[in-house]
Amino acid sequence: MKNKLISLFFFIITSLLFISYIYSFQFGIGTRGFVQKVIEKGQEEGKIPKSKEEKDKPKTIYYTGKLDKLDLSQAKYLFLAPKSTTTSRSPSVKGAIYKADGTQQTEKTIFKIIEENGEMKIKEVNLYDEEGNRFDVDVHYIVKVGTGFISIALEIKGVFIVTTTTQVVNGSTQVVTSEEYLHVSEWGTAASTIPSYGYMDYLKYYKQYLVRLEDGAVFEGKYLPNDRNKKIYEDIYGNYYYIATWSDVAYWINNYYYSYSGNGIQQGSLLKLNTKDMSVQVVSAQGDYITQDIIEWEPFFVVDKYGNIAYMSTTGSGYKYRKTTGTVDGSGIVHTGFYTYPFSSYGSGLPPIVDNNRDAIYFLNKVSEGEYGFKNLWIRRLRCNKDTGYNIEITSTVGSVSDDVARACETIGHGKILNIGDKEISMLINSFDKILFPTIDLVNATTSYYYEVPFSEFGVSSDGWNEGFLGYQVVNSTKVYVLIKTEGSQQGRYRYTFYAIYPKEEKIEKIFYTERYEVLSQSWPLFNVDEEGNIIVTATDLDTGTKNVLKITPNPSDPGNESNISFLQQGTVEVYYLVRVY
Amino acid sequence: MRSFILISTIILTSLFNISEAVNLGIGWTLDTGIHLRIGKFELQSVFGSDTSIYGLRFYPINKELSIMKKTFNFYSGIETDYISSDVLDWGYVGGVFTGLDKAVFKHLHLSLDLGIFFSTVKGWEEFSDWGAVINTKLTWYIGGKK
Repeated sequence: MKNKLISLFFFIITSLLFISYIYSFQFGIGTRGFVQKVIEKGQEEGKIPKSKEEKDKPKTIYYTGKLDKLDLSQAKYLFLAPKSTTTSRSPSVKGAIYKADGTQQTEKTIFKIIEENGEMKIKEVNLYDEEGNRFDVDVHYIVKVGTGFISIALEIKGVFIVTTTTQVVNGSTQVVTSEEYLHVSEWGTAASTIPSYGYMDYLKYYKQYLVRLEDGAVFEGKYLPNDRNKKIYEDIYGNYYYIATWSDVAYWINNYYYSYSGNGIQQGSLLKLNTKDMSVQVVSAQGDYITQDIIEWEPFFVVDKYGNIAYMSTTGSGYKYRKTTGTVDGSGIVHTGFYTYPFSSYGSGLPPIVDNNRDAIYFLNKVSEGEYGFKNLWIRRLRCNKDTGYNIEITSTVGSVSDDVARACETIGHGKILNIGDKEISMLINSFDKILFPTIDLVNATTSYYYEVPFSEFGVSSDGWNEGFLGYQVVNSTKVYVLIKTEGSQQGRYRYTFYAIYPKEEKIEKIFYTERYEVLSQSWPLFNVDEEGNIIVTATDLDTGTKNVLKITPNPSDPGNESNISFLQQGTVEVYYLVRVY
Repeated sequence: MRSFILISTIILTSLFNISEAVNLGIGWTLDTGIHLRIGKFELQSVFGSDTSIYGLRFYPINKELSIMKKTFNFYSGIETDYISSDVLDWGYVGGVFTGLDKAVFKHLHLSLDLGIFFSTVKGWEEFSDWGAVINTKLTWYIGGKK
């Protein structure tokens, strides 16, 4: 018996030596040492706080500084408070999580935002179903809007989510809004900004204000140069996609109800995000009524760098333009006046345009002349800034342009300013069968330069919107990329071809094509261009079925070479959504 | 304070009175703790600035052994502990151990045992792990096993 016990004892000791997973093999460490090791391991996995202070504080990062200085790799929950927050409200967000078959599983408070010692804190963030299984839902990004609205971003994997927001108003809790639940897959992508005429089911994307965050970290560390056609803003995972975004400010429609009858946004519904400090302001005012055509068209509002807003009025004929004293750096916008600029006698005008530097807002107006249609394009430049003493200055110029230009404006109604000066303006106008590049002499009121590229140049029919012309991106004032989709050499496959157009040189180059990668044509925007002129696009590898983010280096000498592709993200591309829940 | 002293005196007196009948000892657990041995049970408390442990050991198996002409006590048992920590909501430890005990000076015994322990703790989330543990204790027996 004795020998057996001794053997057993030494067997245990010997066997333990071969277990790498041994704690406390130090004299005297004991149970406490073991517990300490367990705690340390839990801390490494982020399940146990590292200090009492950390434990008492919600696992939230409070941040009011520059976004790019924040290490978000450790952030599980992020709360961005505007600098001038008033903390009298105590809103909470409730969420109902549904299984894919639509049956409700749980409904509870996702989190509450409470004020504690002057700080806004978030509580209750974990979601479990009735069986105690944790849902794979994480709050990644929260923006609290100063007016009591909340915007949050959720990483959502395979669940339904319904959100409502409540806020305390005059001491009582009120439900601000509630939304029907949607499966995240139904949210799909936001609407494209470029194509038109029904190749997208716009009804599907009525939640356009759900900003899509996709292809995380693709543009990490910098903003893309933005004009009205590059609605990209760097976020924690890569990009925001806003309706109107520049490097220092983003605007988006705060509230939207799709209706063919023309419901638009209401008062207090145009939000401004200062990307420098992530503060958010409501910039629309009583009486503002912006058309719903933000989905089918470019947003019908523009904002210059002085904070002035112009948009097309839907309640009367004409533009509405409001002078403000706010700037992108200011904390408050004061609406000091309204101005309505009437359309031409013919009727509809074109959406207002802001130049790339956002120095001024331009109204383009067609003027009917005789029975042959439009032969004049009026351009009005509105300025309201320190040079004008913050008084509205209207520079009126009548430009007599070619019939093609005016007709294109009539058909599509979209122009982009490639370059602008006091004497001339170079534009891109997208017609149904061609792209026009007129330069208008503002002094002599003539079309001083004109270049057009019919879609037939790319081997697609004149009905390019539906056939093969997928869209374009302005690279700079002298270069534009277009994406063409044509039949591929194999049945069932398409060829995606990128062309570069140099309008001033009247030159077109094929810079890349592929049949292996299918461009995600419903992504928004369709593709991006980085600062080096490389094309960033999300595409499915048809050979492997994986979704990838491609960086394509234009190569006119060998456009079909796959070595022009580098992968920014390979395999399954995570999709993030910015969800507004008010 | 008076009641505390009174209660402590009663407990100590009682312990000395029963010490002739059962093993009774107090001691130092070598990871900064103390323990109180009463028969086959042992109350232990291990203190720390950030983490403290309060537990109970049960020694159902005790066998006398002679190894190299020296007498040892072979023992085995189970242990369960509650963890108190600033960084935890709660935590528990459970495990089995086996070891040897030897009188090193009069009634002073040194014990060394090995155990397999499992722990579950709750910080932000629950976390569990297991491991092998060596425990050493010095115990001064004032009754029973002297």
